[in-house]
Amino acid sequence: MSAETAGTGTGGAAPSPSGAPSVRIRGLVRRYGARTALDGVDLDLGPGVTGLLGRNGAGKTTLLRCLATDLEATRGEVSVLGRNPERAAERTEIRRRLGYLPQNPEFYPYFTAFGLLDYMAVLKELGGRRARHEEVRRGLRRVGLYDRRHSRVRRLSGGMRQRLGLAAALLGDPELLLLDEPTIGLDPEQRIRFRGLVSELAVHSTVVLSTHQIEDVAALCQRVLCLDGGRIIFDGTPGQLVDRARGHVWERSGHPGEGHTAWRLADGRYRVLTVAGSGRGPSPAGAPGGSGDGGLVPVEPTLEDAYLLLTGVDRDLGLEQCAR
Amino acid sequence: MSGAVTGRGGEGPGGGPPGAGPGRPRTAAAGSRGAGPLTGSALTFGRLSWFTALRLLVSPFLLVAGALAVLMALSTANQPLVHTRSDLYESAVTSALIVALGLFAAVTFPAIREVRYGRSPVGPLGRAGRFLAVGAGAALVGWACVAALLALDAWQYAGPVPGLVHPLSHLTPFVVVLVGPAGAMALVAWTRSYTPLLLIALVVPTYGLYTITAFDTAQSVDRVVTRVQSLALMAVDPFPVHSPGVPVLVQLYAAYLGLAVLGLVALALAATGRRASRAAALGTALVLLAGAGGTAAHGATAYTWGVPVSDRLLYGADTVSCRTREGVTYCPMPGYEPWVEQWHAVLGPVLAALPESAADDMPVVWQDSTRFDRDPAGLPPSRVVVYDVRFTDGPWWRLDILDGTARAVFGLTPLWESLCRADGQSRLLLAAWMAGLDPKSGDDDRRSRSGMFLGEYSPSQQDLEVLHVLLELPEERVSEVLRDHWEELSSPRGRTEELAGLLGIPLRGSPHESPAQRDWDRLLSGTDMAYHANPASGPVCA
Repeated sequence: MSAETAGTGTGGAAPSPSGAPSVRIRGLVRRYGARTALDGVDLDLGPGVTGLLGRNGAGKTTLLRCLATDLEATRGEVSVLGRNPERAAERTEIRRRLGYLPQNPEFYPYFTAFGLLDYMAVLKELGGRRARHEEVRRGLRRVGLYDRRHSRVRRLSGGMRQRLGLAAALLGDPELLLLDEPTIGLDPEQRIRFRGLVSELAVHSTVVLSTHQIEDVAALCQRVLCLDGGRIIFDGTPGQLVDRARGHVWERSGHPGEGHTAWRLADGRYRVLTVAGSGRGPSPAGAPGGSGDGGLVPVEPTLEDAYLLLTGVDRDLGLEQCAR
Repeated sequence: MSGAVTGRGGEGPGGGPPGAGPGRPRTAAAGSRGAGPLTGSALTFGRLSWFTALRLLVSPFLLVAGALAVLMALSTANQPLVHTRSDLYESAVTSALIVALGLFAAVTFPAIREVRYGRSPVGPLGRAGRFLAVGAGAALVGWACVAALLALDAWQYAGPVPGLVHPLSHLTPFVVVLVGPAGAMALVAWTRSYTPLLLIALVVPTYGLYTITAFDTAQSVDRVVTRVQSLALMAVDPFPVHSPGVPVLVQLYAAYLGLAVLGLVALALAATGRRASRAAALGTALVLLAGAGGTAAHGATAYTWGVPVSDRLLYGADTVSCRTREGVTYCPMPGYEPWVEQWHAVLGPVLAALPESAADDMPVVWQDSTRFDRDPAGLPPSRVVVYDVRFTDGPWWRLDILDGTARAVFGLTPLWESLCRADGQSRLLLAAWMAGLDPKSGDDDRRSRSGMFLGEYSPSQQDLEVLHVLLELPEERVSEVLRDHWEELSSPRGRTEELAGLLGIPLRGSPHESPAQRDWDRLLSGTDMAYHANPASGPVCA
């Protein structure tokens, strides 16, 4: 396994009360024709929120679709909630206990918000009509759409549709919740509401959150997985990921010059990332330059810094050119 | 969390998996989650079907179609017909077709929902299952509509309704109504768009507008329209001969519809199911649709107009029997026995007006169908044909019986069998008199019918003048003369002059000239007939 595990070995999963992980993956390979989207992923997941980070095309969505039983593995073993999704009967059982918000969900535009959730609730086998409608109302209230329950989906804004999709995924409080870019289009208030909802659910459920919103990961996740090229390149807690960046993040008043990963901050200063042993960026000897003009000041790294160091700088993406 | 929470539900057969630990709170709504995979999916299928059905019920397309179907049912009831069970069957099938058209439009939307927006696995039911559930919901709605329309008919036609209907044909409207949703599902599955609905929404009104306003203005367009129209009608009912009372025809139609509906559903699944099962679904669809086509081809060749349907093929054939009333034999089709008394109520007074010896010449009153050719099966050619359709807005059905009886009693061949002339023959005048001998008909109707009858046999001017007076004479006086002179007056040898002499009618007009238009106008004055007589031609009637 190529992942840098900072936690408890494979997956570092917090085990479920029964002791077994909710998700167990061994040697998962998924190919689309000649392209390999997942390349030998090993993973155990338990209750709590796990964040999936990675660049576009890293394999996050493919991994979620495999867990959601939407895609079959090309090779490897997948066990979701103790069941094998390759077997039809077990796949059905998994789907009963699953909440899935796909990336860019498309909803039938002529449904009302209530109608859409009611439809989803029927598909999720949620009780009789009265109980189901109560659950639908609860879902709408959870995402702040109760007042728009009679609005057609096509009349809702992008953010509202996203919230509707989230409400659909949360219906019935699933045991495994898979969220692919759930906070796209949400305003700050709704993002906070979303975090509260997911945190609440994650007490008993396993939540996997694929996102580019580092703040969401920082706020929500007990565990972070970084994917790159279909492989897990980091598996640990957000704190462990941040620790990795300590001593590699600086700020200075002027541009550090060509060859540095740096970007301009709102106050005119530059944030500079350095990688130990890369031969780029200021050497440790020159680093503690004090606060004078042109001097590099070491600063506390953020999760974003750590993520960029893990993915962007390592791969020589030329971030400084984008940032200028 | 605002919802009520309960302990964890059952984990299905075999207990819970290790990863889904016990004791996890669940919402009350998640009650059915513990069901096994198959029972749970069946439950979801049922609930989704019900969900779809409830939404379809308020679809504007279905509401419009339902209103049209109700109007159709009401207008059928108000048609001037003696309603038969065959009429009710046809009304039900037509209403079912209207509902099917509405369902076609209404089902397009949930079908689009499943094929376009149903990619994510949101529950145990797969895409094909969800798609089928839409069809099942549509079927529920269609059946409910048909049942409601049948109930409306039952209310409208309370009491015994005569007619010939095989029990299986009661199911036909319930299958017909499925054609719409099945067609919509197949078209949506393959096109993944609203295009079929848009096309139909454009074509149907355009067709209606064209036929009302512009038909007969451009022959080439008319040909295309007529061709398309006949193809559409053939798709709905490809059998030239169709009757709910002939079991083999009912079975053929049921088989055709059943195979077509199943074929369309399989065709829809071939575009929506899992990749592995698509080829199988497509193969099944082709086999089923080929079966439907084969059934239609067989029915269209084996049972067509001109091929007589023997009585043993009729439903209730064991009850087919002729019965005699006062010397007149009546042969109704099964189910129409109550009409015998009504037929006899027409012929009874005529019998009373004729001498007893005339009873030997009375024909068999035999019922044929407007829906198929009933095989007379050895009955003598001298018979009066009555049909299974009877209008109530005039005396015509009674006069038709009298007309046929008069021709048979006096040995006059009907015009449509062979053209002959009987000018100067007393039997022609007596037959024309008898053809209008219906006490329930008004004088004008009787005069019209007698005049038309006479006109078919190239009468002379003199014949017309004698008939004019004959129709004014008391019935008893004519009967008296007939009783005494039946043999000679009813034979081809009897002459107009002889009859006129016996009745004391003065002879006017030429016996060698055809009546002029003014003569006809005088006979038919007061009626709404403007009759143009058959020109003198053909041999003398034997």
